[in-house]
Amino acid sequence: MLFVFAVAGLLFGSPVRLLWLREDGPWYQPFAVWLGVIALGAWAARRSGHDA
Amino acid sequence: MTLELGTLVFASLGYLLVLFLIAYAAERGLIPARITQHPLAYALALGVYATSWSYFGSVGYAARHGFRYLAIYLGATLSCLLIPVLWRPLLQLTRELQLTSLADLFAFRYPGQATGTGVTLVLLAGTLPYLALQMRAVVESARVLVPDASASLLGLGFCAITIVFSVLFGARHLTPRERHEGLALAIAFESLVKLVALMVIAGWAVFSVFGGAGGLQAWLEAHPEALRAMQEPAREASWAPLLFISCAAAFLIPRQYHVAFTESPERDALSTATWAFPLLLLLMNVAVPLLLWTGTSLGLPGQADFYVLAVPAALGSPFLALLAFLGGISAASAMVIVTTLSLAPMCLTHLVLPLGYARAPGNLYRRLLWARRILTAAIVLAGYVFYLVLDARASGLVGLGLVSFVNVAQFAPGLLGLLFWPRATRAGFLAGLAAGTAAWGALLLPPLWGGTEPGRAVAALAAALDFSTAEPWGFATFVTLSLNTLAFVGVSLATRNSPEEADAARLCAREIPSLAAGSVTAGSVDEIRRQLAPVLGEDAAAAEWERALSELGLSPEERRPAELRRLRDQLERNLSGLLGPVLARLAVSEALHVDPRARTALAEQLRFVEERLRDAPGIKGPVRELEAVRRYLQRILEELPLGACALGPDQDVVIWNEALERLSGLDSARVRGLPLARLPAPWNELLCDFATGPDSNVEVQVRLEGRERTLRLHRSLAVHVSAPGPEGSEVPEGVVLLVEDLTERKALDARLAHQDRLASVGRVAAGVAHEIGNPLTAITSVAQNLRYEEDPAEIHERVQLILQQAKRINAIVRALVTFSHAGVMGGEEEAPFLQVRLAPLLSEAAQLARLGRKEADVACVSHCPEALEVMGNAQRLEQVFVNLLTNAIDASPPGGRVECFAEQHDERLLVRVVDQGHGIPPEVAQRIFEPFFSTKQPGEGTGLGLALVSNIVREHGGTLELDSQPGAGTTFTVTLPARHRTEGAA
Repeated sequence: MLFVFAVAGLLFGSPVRLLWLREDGPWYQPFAVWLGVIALGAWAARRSGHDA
Repeated sequence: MTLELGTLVFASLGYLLVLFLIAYAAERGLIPARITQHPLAYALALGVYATSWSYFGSVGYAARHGFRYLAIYLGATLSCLLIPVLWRPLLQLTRELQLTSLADLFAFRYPGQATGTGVTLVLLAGTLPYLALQMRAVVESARVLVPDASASLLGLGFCAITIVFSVLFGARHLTPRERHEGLALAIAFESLVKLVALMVIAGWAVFSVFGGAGGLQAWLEAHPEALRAMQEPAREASWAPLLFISCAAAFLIPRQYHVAFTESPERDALSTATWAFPLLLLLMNVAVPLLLWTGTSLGLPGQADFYVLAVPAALGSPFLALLAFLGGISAASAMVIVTTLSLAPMCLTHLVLPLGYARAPGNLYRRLLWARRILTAAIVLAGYVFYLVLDARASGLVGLGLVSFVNVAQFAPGLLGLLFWPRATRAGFLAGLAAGTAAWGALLLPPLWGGTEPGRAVAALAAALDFSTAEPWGFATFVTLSLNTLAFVGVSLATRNSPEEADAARLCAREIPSLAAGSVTAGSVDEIRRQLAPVLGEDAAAAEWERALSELGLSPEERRPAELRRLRDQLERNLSGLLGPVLARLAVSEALHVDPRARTALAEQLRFVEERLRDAPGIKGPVRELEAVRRYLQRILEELPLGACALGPDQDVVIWNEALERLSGLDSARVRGLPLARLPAPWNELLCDFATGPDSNVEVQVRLEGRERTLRLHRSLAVHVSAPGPEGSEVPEGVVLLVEDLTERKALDARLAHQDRLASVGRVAAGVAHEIGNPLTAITSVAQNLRYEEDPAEIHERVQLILQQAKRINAIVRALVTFSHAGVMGGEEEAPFLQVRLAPLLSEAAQLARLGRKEADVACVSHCPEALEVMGNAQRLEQVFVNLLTNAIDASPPGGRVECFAEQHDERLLVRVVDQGHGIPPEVAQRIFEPFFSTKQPGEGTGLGLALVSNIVREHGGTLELDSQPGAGTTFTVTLPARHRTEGAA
């Protein structure tokens, strides 16, 4: 989970975000990246074995 | 398009009525627990994070800062990825220690009233702008649809409705510890309403204005500046401050903490929340750019903040406008209700109760409940007053919210210290909080009232650090957190933890805490209840006492010191949920004194270790091996067929195994830790006396469950050598008592002895019949012939024959009587034991034996030192040796030799009668001492000789042993004590 956090932190908080905010990108691109992070988090949570 | 005020009010009241019904149904159990406790319901309830700021304000913020508005929600997503590291440990702590608010949590870790009061005041100050934001959103959104509506009326109406709902469903339970099922479900429903409203309006707007997704794409291509306006500001500005403060706010702002931890369902829902809560935020935020572009394309006037309402209004859809308004009401009311419900208990426990409110007479619970209700109303009204005094031009909705977020972020350093830095001190926390909050107040509060611009030095510093002056919260975040962290770390390093603080730090850092030292001075659970009553009042004391007893599964008769200590700790934990940790500790300390010098019972230490090892996930290495060995040894002890009871140094029961449970009927769990003297009768006296008595092995008769039982007790002392080598002294560590139930074995022995006696009686009867039968036959035969005899001489001779046979019968009967009356010889009284010289006695016996067997050619010799003496009856002892020597002569071949040896060996005299006869086969040797058993021809012996010898030797306290090998002669050994009891008494 911490790995996903680090990846997400990099995507959102660092200059890497310029990639998904580039001018020629579709309007929904930020949401797609966000959805990807959510999916990664869900996968990590499932792996950690605390699923409800 | 505008709406009537009445329509808005009616729709709002109708919507809130639905909320009431949902909450009511959940509280009454009409909605099943699988729904109220469902992880998705929990994730939806966490959606209270999205308030009217998100619902209305995000569109306005996006209009100014583009996609940067997403940072607030991406921060919350990052926070969810920290659930295993931050949320889950916090949830465990709040549950185990019953810390119902953030102030409780910090007041526990950094103990002291100042901590609780400080945290509450800071949170209150940070929350008022947020409450004001909701009021403003509701009033202004209503005025979008009803421009001439009275702002005061709208604001006060909203306040009144939220107060009523909060009091009815949030301050419903007597104590704040219970989960409010109804409230949690209603909040989840409100999140659903917000989501549906936003998505429906955005979808409808896109289809109405652009004709669908393709139309929107075409419009964006035709107006590239619209998309550029979203992307450019987001690329240029820093996201870090927004991400950080929203990451902290996602679980630290009062409403989030309340929903995430205090109202969390019993089942684990955090993993679902990891994805479901961010997904909810994502879906809500997808609507934001759609609404913004729709409003832009429609050329709507006014603030973009209220496009959610303005778009359907402009498109002439009263239904969707009303739906949009209800979504806003939903977002605002959920925030206000949960925030006030989380702040009210905090204010009560950390601001009101320390003033002595808890000590007023009457029912404590009722007073606390009413105080919470009043505080709930007061906080809502305070938010309204804050809204009234705000400068309407000062800040947008998002700006107000960010002021609160920066405030709450001041708890982040303290929280990280709480979880990961045991060295952090209370002084450090308070210093950091004070520094951060002071800077927050100076930098962010004045602009809310249209205050002065920041000073030149501040502006220069902000510019130097590349912070925009248009966004004061960015610079404020950096400054406040820097000051806070520096002060927190610096002061913590400069100060030391108190012992109480160190204990709390270990607990919060999930280190295994040491066992609480000392024991309560109260001797019983009832005494604890009595001692609690003056502090809490009779009713509350009784209720808390019963609750703690039930949670621990203790009986009202419990007296074990370790259990009483557990009860005290549980009471403190429970009261912490009611009064806060500081007051709970004070109340319990005042009521239930602890003797810190009292040693912790070994049984309690053992249980503590067992529980810690059981709870420790995945122990490895030597600890795991040691635990396996411990379990193995424990299993052996538990399954021992003997009752085993191990006592600690203070004679408290450490082990009470299964065999002893069965024998005593006392459950191990009930007995462990109990001092031996407090065991139920008769075990207390029995084991106490034995554990401290002189004997280490005794047999006792005990009455258990109405039945007499024979128990053999064994004792073993467990000692510890204080130092290696000869100088080490032995320190007693405890005692092991083994209890063996001999009842069944004794009964079996008795049955066997009885059967043996019966068999012996049978053999005696057969012998008597046989011995008496022969002379009786002779008498009968002679008597029958006597009738026909006329010769007096013949008659005389026959009568003599009859008399002779009668004498023989008499001799047999007398011998039988002599044998059967131990200690009595022919009906005479027992002769006293005198000093008897053994040498002459043995010579005389040898002579008598020789005379009795004149015809036998056997030498009979006695070897006895002159000095040997024995206490006894000379005649009976002589009879012993005459019988033995006569038998030996009878068994010896002609020309054989019988010898008698006497010697003293320690305190005993040994007399051996040795012959060179044919020996005695083993099967005969087994029965040789039985009465009437004889290998001689009928008429040659009565079979009572050796039985009589055995009896006489036993009377003298001696033993008779036989050593014989067939063909190798026989040795009878008579052992007599050299010192007899009469000698000792003289």
